[in-house]
Amino acid sequence: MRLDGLRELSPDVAEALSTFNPQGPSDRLKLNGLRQLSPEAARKLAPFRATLCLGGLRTVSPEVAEALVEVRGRLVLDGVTRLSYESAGILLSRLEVNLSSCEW
Amino acid sequence: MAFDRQWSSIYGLRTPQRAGRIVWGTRGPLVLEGVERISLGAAAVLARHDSVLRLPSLRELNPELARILAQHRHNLYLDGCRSLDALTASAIARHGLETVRKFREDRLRLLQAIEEIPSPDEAGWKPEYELDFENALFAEPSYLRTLTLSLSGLKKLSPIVAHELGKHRGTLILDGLKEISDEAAGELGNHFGSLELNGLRSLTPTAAAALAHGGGEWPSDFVFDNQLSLNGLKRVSPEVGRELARYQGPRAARRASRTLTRCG
Repeated sequence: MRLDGLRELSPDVAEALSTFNPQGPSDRLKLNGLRQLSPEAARKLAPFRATLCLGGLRTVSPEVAEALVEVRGRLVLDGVTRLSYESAGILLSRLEVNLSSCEW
Repeated sequence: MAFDRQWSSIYGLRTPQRAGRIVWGTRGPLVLEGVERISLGAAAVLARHDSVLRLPSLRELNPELARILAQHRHNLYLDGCRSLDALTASAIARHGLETVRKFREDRLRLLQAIEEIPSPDEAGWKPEYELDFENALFAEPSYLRTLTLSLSGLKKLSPIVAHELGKHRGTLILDGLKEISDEAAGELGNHFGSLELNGLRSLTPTAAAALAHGGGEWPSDFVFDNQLSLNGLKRVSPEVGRELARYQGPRAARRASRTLTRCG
């Protein structure tokens, strides 16, 4: 499912989308248009079980990172180019996160 | 590309011979920028082009022309077409099915021909390696999974045309639609394969529910990928989000790929 046009994600919508019910590891929800994500919305995404692509995020605050590591599915954050040590430490505490564009 | 410019000067493609010269002189994607009219004979030749075919300036399709173009066996882009009647939509919607059916017929014919050839042992040959002919022949090329029909010139979609296009199998691109009625969305919800509606600016919960329905049970052993693209939506309501979250298209795609170990 591709919803790359969404520029903002309210906690209500995040909660609604978090019920996306995947049927296998290749199923993904693409929200690559989001440039920022509030900690509240990120927290609502926690039950998400598919692959969640947030390729529009350039950086992730520690608060958002704390929320995103709770997401049950795989996380793709391949647009992130800057990351604090704190956020990096939080995100890398889980295995299934893709930070392929991040400069370390 | 050079051939784009060359063919952009052509207004009408009336003779099969002229179409033949273009097709035979082109490998890879064929883009006929300026062609606004084609004869049925020319269309029959173009339909045999062995790669992507784009006719961005072709404004009008009729059922007969659509029936011929639907026999094209690669991605087909008819983005110049501004409107469709139900009969024409029904004809062009055959594109994906026709392509897969012909692919399989060809492979079956080839397999039968191979079976008539003496085996290496009978012929006294010593093959250096074993080749699984049957699997090699029936393995479907990857492009078939995303076989595309694009009608992005359509600005409106009536329920009856949507009903016909909903019978299409493969990737259907309708990026020109800015809005869609609940009825039309309900009909498109029966489509199997990927659906791209990236021009839509808004969606009602009812339309979202219909599109997320995603065809339900896969009706046969087709291999098409299944994705729903709604990249034009800038925001969605929680109700729409909930309905979209029900989308389960890829499950059907996997079921199809599992059952398609052999076709024909």
